[in-house]
Amino acid sequence: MPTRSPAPSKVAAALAKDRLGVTSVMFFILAGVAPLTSIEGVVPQAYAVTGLTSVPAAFLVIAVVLCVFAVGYVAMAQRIPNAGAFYAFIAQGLGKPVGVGGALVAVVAYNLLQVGIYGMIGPFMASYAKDNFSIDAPWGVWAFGTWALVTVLGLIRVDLSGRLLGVLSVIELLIIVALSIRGLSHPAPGGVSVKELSPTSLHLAGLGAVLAVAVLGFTGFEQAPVFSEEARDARHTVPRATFVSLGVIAVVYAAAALAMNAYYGDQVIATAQGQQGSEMLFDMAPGLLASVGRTLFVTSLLAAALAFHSAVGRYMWALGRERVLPSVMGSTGANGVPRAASAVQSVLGAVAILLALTFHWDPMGQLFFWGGTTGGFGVLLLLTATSAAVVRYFLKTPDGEQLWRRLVAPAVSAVVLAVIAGLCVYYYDVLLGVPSGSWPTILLPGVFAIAAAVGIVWALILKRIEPQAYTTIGLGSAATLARTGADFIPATVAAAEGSA
Amino acid sequence: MAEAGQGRTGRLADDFFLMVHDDLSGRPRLSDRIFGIGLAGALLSELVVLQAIDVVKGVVRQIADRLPAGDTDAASPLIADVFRDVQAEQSLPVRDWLNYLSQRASDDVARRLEAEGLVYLKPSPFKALGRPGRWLPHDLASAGWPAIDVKLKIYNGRADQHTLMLFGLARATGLKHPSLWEVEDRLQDPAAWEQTLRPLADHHPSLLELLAHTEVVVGSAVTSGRIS
Repeated sequence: MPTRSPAPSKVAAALAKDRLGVTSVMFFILAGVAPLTSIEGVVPQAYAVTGLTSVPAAFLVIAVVLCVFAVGYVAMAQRIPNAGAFYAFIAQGLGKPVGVGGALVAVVAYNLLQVGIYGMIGPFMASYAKDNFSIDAPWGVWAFGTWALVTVLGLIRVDLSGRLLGVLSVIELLIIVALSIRGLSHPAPGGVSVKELSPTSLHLAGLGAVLAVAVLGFTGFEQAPVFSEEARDARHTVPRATFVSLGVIAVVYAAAALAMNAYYGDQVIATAQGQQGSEMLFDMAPGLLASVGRTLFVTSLLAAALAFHSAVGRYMWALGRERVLPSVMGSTGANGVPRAASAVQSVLGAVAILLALTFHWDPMGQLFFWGGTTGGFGVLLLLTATSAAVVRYFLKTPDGEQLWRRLVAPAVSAVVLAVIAGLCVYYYDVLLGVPSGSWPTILLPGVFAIAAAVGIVWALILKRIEPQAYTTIGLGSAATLARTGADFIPATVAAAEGSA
Repeated sequence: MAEAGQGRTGRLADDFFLMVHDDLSGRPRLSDRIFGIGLAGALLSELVVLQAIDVVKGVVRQIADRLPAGDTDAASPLIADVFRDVQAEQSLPVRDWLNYLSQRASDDVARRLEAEGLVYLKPSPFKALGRPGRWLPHDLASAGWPAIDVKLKIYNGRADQHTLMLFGLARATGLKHPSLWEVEDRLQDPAAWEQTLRPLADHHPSLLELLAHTEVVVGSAVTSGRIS
């Protein structure tokens, strides 16, 4: 006799209405990834600096690597509090000192990614305003204008709702798809070649660089576990949103990069390196489509700058609350915004724009691309350390997890990501497009070594002067539970136990 | 109920409501969701104090068949409603209860205070734009008292359970109140607030666990950016 499932409870029904499904979490992920910003800004630069036509393959390779990474990542995310912050994984897997080292690496990396956007938004807005409204102002004015807008909107919490982000993300994806179809259907002499989609098209010399750039394009996908407690089905929503997002982003990126290859043919590298490099995507479609695309790109950049600003602020807030950063960073304003963290992030943005103006840095080539790729490289280091942390965490507490999730996948991703990171360091000159051995090739990756070392030393100092703060590093808000003697029960487990 | 009849009800959620609102402007000092989570924690605490529920290992359990009959002051109709909800459900995670109750807690507690004649709703001049009105106290001195009381008792080391819970809720929600600046270091320093709240562990471990879960839910709301 068939059994009827019990009617959903009043509480469950009320909560379900307010909680996030797979699609909503995906929209938050896509807002952080900012696909249009990545394709318009990152892909042409990847062609330009690496001189390789295998950019589409790089996106597919990295998508596969990140999928393997995500297997262990989401498995561990369901067991630990404060998931979504890499340092929490690292602290619980590799120890608190390494975790604090990772925390500072993350702060540097995410801030670089955020301030880098001003290097792109300034010149683009300058050229957009000149073409459409005959307003002629230097890029620094637009960069500071955007910075002011982001600072104010960030502080008064005009953060974008899930629905608005969803609409923007879908429109962005449609524009990219439309431009890609236009490019693929109007190939240069020689037609469309799909050999650039094959991993065999990747060459060792530029491999690290092009893969690091591809990682940069995916940065933001790791945010999904932040929504664990907000998800409708804590056990399935976050993993599904993570994998589907990775798939969608990979296909869209590879298609767009392939379309550029097809449309520009053997001139793809030369075009990317030329004056019109940053306009490659929109130049594939003349007329209305390009015009709409350019306008949407402005909103995409603004949304990306604000999304990154808020994400960095919240990251620093979490660290402030744990006293890894000064405790003032862990305070929120009356509107719930991490005010001090948000203000510090804004100050860093202003400093970056001022430095670029003072030293006449090329906003696109240096502030955006150097800042962005170095930030992306920092994320690559965090991904590597997090994979290793997942392996070690499950060695200590296997807890019935499948071998593939707890050991094989994270071990494979740790090794592969470490190799990519190693290649990156070795070929950092190729990544930046500067002579081998020049100062940026040492200083920029070296920043992370310094951040990690400072973090480790700070953790050891904290252990001595504030032992209570030290014991709760990586536990996030659940640190309080540890103090009460109660175990933290993640949403997945709590839901299962509650329904049992 | 020491302060009942003097502009206060002595109920935890009511006092937390008054602490969160600026007594002159009625402006809340917390975002809607964080305020709701804090009030939800306070409402559940009222049930814990009435020995109607407890919180063990992250789950709310009903431990009494009915609310104490004689104590009508403490067991308001609102608390009776919440208790009926708890009775209707199997054991649910406390974080589900906090999220569920937070959806309507600020309206419910405001209405309870209004029914007691302690606050009134001043309509917004921008009502047509969807701006909500503000809740203002009839008696400014009484409305400001809960925060001053917390400061004095914490500062002088004479805190009772009610005061400790208000202090704990201020910590869990990140409430900044001008009257609490003298105990701000105790709110910020983990060692200091842990020591301050320690007496709760001896008398009502459920209350301490409830505070901790309130902080976890607030943390999740802030890190995910879902604070409105």
